[in-house]
Amino acid sequence: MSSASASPALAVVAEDEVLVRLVAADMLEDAGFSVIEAGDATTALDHLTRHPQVTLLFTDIEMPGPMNGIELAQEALRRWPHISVVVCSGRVRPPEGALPERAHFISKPYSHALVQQVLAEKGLV
Amino acid sequence: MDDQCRAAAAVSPEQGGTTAQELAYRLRQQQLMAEFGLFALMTRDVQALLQEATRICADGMQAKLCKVMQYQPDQGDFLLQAGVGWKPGYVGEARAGADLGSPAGFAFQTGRPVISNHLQDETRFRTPKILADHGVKRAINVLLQSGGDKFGVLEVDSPNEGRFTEADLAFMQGFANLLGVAIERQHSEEALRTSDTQLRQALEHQGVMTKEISHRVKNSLTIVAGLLSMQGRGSDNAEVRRALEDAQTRVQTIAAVHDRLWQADEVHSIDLADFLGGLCEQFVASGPANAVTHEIASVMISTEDAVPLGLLANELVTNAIKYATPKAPGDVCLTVTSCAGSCLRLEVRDHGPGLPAEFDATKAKSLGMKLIARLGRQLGGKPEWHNAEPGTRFVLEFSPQAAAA
Repeated sequence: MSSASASPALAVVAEDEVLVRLVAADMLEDAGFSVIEAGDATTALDHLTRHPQVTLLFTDIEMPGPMNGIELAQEALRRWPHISVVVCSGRVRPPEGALPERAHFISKPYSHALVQQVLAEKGLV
Repeated sequence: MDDQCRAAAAVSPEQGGTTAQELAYRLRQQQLMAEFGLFALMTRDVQALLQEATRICADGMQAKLCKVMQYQPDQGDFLLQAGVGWKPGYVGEARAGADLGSPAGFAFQTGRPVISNHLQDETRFRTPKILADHGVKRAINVLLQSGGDKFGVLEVDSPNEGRFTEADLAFMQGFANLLGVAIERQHSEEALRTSDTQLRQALEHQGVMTKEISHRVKNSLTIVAGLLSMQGRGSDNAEVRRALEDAQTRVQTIAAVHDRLWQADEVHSIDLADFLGGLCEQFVASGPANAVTHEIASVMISTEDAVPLGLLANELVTNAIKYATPKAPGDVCLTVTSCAGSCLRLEVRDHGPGLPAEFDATKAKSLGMKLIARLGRQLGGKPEWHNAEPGTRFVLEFSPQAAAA
């Protein structure tokens, strides 16, 4: 998809730890995305609002601020139903039904290969 | 005997009692001491102890009034902590000076018992208000100590004419000593209970901290792995990419050990099936779906064994994926089974080209093969390579270290 299109697909990465965010952004760039980074849910929503053509939201669960990753995922899918959402966490496994069906959960630590596989399954790469 | 004793006990020798009467009086005091001793052994409640002490002491002294004046360090005076015969509103409330000018204060400060048989005529002491309020004419008091600390004063008072004697002092002193030991015992037991609770809390805290450390180590290793991966992707050189990718998976394997540790209730051992199974899931992502299968016995292993075992499995499976190009489900299979005598048997089998003609594991130069040999030995086994026809089978039998309790 990335090599064929004129401009690369857009993705928003929401993650509060700087290095972890860097690694995630790099992984997605390697998969062909142009990445916009956010340190918390509020900023992520802000980016999504300003760039409605974003096709992927990749978010951690535990972040500072009034909203966590699960709530962000729910809100994003409510407002932009076409978006693909990947939620990840090292500590928390979301309880049954907490995540909207369209959101995919990955447990940290995740390998590059695993992320590629998930993106492929979602038809994004 | 009892009625006679009771009648006799009311009369102390100085008041004209006979020898027989005095004997009965003293025997009764001994009996009361014994009863109190028994009570003190069974009671956990210091207040109840003090109260019962004053009741029995008054009885033994054939007096109406008895009290324990407990020293209040903050205010430097006494509080009427327990007692019998006092008007309402006194026990637990009335206070008195602990200075040398009162009989109780003197006993407390000097440690010397005090007998005052005519309070009104006393030149040594004033008559404290509590005593004046009850028309007390004479008082006898002794220091109450527990564990070498001054607790307060035990005092018997009487509004009647009469004389407290040295023999009475012996009873009072004995009683105070008994009471002191009982109070000390309660305090020791309380101190023991407190330190026991603190110890338990400290251990719990330590457990939580250890888990927290494991979690942070896992996070740090994950970041390192991520950076290695980024670096690999940033290189045009295929060899560099491969080398960094290998390094990354090794770091991730160790991270996986810590990932299990912080989550489990155990901090020193992990479930093998969970751990290796989890690792295999990650290997799976880098190859065709279901090509790598696993069957692992559900046993607990120590952290010391988990790291080499995880790294070994990582080397063997990634090797198999690289050289045997699995396509069908089960083309590469990792199994761990229990064998005789609490040992474990690790096998990795593939359906690839098999071992080269002059394969000699001991002469292998690659880091992967060196690691396999080294790790196998570290686990205490002898690594074996066989032709599985088709493919290769690696076998290692080893005795895991006893998983820490």
